[in-house]
Amino acid sequence: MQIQWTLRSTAKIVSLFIITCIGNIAQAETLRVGTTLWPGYEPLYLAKELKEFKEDIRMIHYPSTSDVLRAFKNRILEAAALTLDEVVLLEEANIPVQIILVLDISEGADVIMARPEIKNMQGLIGAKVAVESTAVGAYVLSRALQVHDIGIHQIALVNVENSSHKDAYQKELADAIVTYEPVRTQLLNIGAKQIFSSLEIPGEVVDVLVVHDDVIQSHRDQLLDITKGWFAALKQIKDEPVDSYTFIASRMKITPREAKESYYGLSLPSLKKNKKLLSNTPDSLATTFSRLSEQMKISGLINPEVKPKILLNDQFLP
Amino acid sequence: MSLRVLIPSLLLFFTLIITIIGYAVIRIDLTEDIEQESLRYMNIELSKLQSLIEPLLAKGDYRGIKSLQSFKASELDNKGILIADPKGVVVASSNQKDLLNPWQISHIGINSEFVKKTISSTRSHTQFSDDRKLLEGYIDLCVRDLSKGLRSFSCGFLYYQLDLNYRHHQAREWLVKQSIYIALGSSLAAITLLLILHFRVTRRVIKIKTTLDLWTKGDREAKINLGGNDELNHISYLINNLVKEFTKDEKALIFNQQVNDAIIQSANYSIISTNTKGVITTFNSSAEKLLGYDKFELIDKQSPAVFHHIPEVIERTKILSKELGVDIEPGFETFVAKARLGKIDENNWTYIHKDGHEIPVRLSVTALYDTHGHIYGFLGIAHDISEQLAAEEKLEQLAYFDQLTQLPNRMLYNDRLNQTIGFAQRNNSSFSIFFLDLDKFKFVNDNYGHEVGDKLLIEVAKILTQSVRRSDTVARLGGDEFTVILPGLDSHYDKIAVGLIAEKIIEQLSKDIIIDGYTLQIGASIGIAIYPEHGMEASDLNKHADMAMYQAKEHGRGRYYFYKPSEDTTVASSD
Repeated sequence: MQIQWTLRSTAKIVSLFIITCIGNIAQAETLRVGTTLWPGYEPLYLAKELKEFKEDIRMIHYPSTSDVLRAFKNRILEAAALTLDEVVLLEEANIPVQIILVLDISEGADVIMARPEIKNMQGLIGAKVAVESTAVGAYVLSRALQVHDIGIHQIALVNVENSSHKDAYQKELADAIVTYEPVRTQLLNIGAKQIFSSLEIPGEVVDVLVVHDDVIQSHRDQLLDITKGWFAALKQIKDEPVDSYTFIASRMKITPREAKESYYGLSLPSLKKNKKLLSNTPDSLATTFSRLSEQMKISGLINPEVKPKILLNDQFLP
Repeated sequence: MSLRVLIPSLLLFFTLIITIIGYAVIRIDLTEDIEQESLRYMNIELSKLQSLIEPLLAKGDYRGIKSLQSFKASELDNKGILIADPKGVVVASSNQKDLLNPWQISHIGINSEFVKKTISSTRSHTQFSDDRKLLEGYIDLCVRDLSKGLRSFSCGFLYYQLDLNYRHHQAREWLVKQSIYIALGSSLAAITLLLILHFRVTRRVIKIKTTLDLWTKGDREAKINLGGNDELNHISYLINNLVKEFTKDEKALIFNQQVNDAIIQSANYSIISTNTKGVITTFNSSAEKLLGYDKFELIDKQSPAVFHHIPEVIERTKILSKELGVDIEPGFETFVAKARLGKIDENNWTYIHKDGHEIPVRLSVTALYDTHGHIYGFLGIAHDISEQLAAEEKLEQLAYFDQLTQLPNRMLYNDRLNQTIGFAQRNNSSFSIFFLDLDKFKFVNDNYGHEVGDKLLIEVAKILTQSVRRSDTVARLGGDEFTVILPGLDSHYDKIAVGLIAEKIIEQLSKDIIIDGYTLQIGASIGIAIYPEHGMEASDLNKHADMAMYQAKEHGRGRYYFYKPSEDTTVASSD
């Protein structure tokens, strides 16, 4: 045993020495960030495109938020771009996470689109509604129904993931779709009607960058890098809008103009706003988070027994 | 061990050691690494399968699920896989028997505790089997049932068995293969190194060695030709030069040695050298001639005992010990003690010839010093002094004896007279001297010739010598004049006794003496002087005895006469 231990320690010391010596060659820990296709997350890809990330950061695109959540839960991802309600779901599942950046606040970008025959929310009664039930769609739908005083049982629900929303509409699998940009624009283009938007629930649909608790320690440099890149990308959009929107449009399969329009329903908080949201003040995201949790309990989206807690971490803000 | 064997052996040894250590170290780490890697793999696989199967379950696509399971089952490290739907019915399993049965009755090895934990937490769980040959993974497979509300869902699960034993086996196989590759690679490197070493170093070193061997055996023409421009070539160049210089010096040395040997061998001196312990190392031909020994009889023998006169050595040792103030052991030290002190020791010694006769020699002993100034031996050079001693004796004979009669001459007579005076003075005794002159000797010489005269003188000497005691001295002063010293008489000396001796001599000489057939008749006149009565000095005694002899002749030949001062005209006239 003693010999084994000695041999093993020696081997470890030697390999550590070698790794230290050729540190530049050795692979740094990669930060894997999962997202869906959503204008609010696009600056991350823009930053990557602009080579703003100096560290090894891998952006991974998933077809649906459910996939992002699954991968994040299964620790395939170190970080994920999620809506606040999805973070509540993680907390409910007892997965310790921290929010290090507020990406966007939906001010109309999350919507319920319906066939032209359905004029308004009341028209949904008895209709078949497609929703990605594990993700923000469920929250948006439940809030929409709540706001417009419609019972969940008054509608028929179909679980359709975001990537299939356009398809579901075209194949008439549903009368209405709970969705968001760029599907909103795509559906508008083929004649669908917007009957609800997050403008009616201001400040409730918030997209954040979450990381596992331990990633704070293990990927410190990468986390500092990603927030820096984020704000660099925001500046780029402002300074070079044509180039930026052309890049974003190419990814979202819409025109640059539509890409630009897709941001009308979004607010991208500045660094200053971010600091405020991640602070310990009453204006912070924590207030929104607890209000959201309460709302989700009422809507039956989470177990009423749990008391979700969120950790806001502003130390990676540049 | 020669270089040729040592270097390859070392290389192979190190190769072996490196391989064994490498194998051991990696082998220890391997198990842990495989477990960690398997855990990582398991989590990814579970996550992947969850993302693939959940939509299939939601759609009720059991065929899709089954084909996925079959696909996974074909993977060699997959030991088993089971998929249960939210109702707990097995929809796919590596054991076809389980299909459509509740998962609880499957024999695949599902732990119901883990199933419960996985479903309730909607998170994957993994565990190693007790023997750590298996890694088991559980993950929830949840299906939304939106007809029952937004949050309504129910979960089945997926069970996955990873064959760690297979993975370990694979890894070990890999490791053995790698070790063999490393060993082969290292051996190849070792052989390459060896070849390089052989051609660049070993072969050339051996060449140097062979040349030096040849050179040691006497081949002075042997030369090293290496080529190249490295240290070895430089060394061989230096060796060649060294050998060249050495050969030159050696030739000179051999020449000098031969000259020295010739000198030593042909010298008239006996030359014997020894080491510091006295063992003979050189014995030249003169020594052989002198001592009668062959050099091979004496070389490597202890020197003094063989050809030295032992009592002489012991005697000399006593003297030398006194002289040097140290106690010297009789033997070899007797000869070299002085030389050891850096002094030249030259002395007369007696050598003993092999046949036993004694040879007087003059021997000088010198110490031999090496380059550090340490004595490494002694050199004794000796020559025979027998002839010299004989010559000296002869010379003495010439100087002190009368060549005709062999009696002491005037010089020795005077010397003995002085000695006798000295003795008498010390002992307060008396003695007498006779001056004797032959009567009628001139007549014999003139009538019978000098030859007869000479023979007569020899006969007279014989008669005189026989007429006195052995302790008395009979001398011939020249012509027909003889003297006799009669010492050792006490102070109460009786003139009558002396007169009787003189009378006896006269009587003997008055007899007929026959020489060459001639009967000769001579006689003698004797003058006697007595010490101290007739003089204290030799000159006085001689003068007075001579005077008495003349007075005897005057009183008639054939008689003796005591010196009488009253009749001494020289004394009277001097008065």
